[in-house]
Amino acid sequence: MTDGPGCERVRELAPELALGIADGEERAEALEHLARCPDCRRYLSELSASADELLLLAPSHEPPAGFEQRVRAQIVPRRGRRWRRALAPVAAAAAAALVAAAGVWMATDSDRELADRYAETLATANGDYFAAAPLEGAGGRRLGTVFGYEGNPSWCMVVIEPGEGAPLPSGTYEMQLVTEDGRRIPWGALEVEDGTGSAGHAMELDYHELAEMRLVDSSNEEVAEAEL
Amino acid sequence: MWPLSDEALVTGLALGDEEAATAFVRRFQARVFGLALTMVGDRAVAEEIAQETFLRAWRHAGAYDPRRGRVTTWLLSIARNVAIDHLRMRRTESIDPDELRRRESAMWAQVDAGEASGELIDLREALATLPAEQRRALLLAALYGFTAREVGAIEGSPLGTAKTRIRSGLIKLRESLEETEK
Repeated sequence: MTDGPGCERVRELAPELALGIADGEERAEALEHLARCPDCRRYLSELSASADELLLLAPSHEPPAGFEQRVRAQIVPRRGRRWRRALAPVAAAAAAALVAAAGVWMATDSDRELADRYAETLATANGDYFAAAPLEGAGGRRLGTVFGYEGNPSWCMVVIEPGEGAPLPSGTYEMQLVTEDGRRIPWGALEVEDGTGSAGHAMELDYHELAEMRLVDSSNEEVAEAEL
Repeated sequence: MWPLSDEALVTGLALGDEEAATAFVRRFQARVFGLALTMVGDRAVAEEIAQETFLRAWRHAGAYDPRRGRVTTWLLSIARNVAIDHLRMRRTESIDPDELRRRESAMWAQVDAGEASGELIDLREALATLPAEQRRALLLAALYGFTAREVGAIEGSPLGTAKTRIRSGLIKLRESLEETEK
C-alpha cells in the first residue's frame, strides 16, 4: 500500500513522529499504517534522520562526579576475569567480529543480530552472563558440555553427549564444582547411560566465582573436567 | 583506551564487553548529559535520564544499524525519547520563559563558538534558511520536547499554526541538509 488517504494523514503526522512529540493516539494511528506502507516508513525515516541531527545542537556538559561508575554498575554485568575465555559459543561469532574490529567496523548484520539476541535473552531472564565450556576426559576427548548462567537464579548444568572418542561408561558419577578460591562443592549425582546424561540445578554462587566442574566416578577417581 | 571507532564500541557494548562499555560511556557521557540537561533543566533529573539512556543503549546495542545514522545521533535520539517520557509525566503547563531563554542562549552560544565545527556548520546553515518562526517552533519541539500544543502556548499561536510551523520547518531542514550532502 503506497497510496490512499492513510498516506496523506501519516505524512502530515510524520514530522511530529520524527521529533518524538506526537501524542499516543496519533502515534498508534500512524503505526498501524506504517506497518504496511514501506513508502511512508522511508519518508518517516528520512525526517527522523534530520530531526536527530538537531540533537547535536545541545551543549555538552560533564555529568556529576561518579556518573561513569554509576552507569557501569548498571550496565556492566558482574563477571570474573575470565569473561572472554568463557564467552559462550552462542556469542563467539560476534566476539570474533569484535576482535577483528581493531578500529574498523567489521561486524555483519548477522553478527549484530546474534549479539542483540544474546543481550535480549539475558535481559528477559534477569541474567548477566551465559557461558558454556567443554567437558573433557583423559587425553582431552570431548565428553559433553557444562553450561552456566549468572542471573536470578544462577544455575549450572552438565550435559554428557557421545563424542568422537570413547564415551563415558554408563554409571553414576558425582559432579563437583571448584571455586576460584579452591573450595570443592558437591553438585549432585549424574546418571550416564549409553554415553548420554544430564543434570544440574540452581545455585547460590555467582557463576564467575567458579573455576572448574569435575566428574568423579564411584571410586572417587576424576574422569572429566571443564574449565569454567 | 582503545582507538576504536564509535561503531566498534557499540559492537562491544552489544557483547557486554566491559572495556568497550567503559570507553563508550566515557566518550558520550557529556553529550548525553548535556542533551538531557537542555531538555529537563535539572541536573539530578538529567543524570537519571542519562543513566537510563546508557542502559537502553546497552540493551539495544545489537539493533544499532550504521546505515541509518551515526552512533552519536542514535544515542542522542534514545536520550531524547527518555527525556520526553519523563517530561510527559512531569511537566506542568507553566513554563518559565526566562529559563527557556537562558537554555536557548546557552545552546546558541555553543553553536556560535563553533565548539563542534563540521557537523554543526551544515546544520546551522540549514537552520538559517528557515523563517524565524519555523526555526523557533522546530527547536522548541526538537530540543526541549515541547508538543505542538505547548509550542502554540509558548508562542501565543493556535495549535494548527504551531503544527504547520514545526512540520514545514522540519521538511525544509531536511531539504537543505540533502542539498548540502550533494
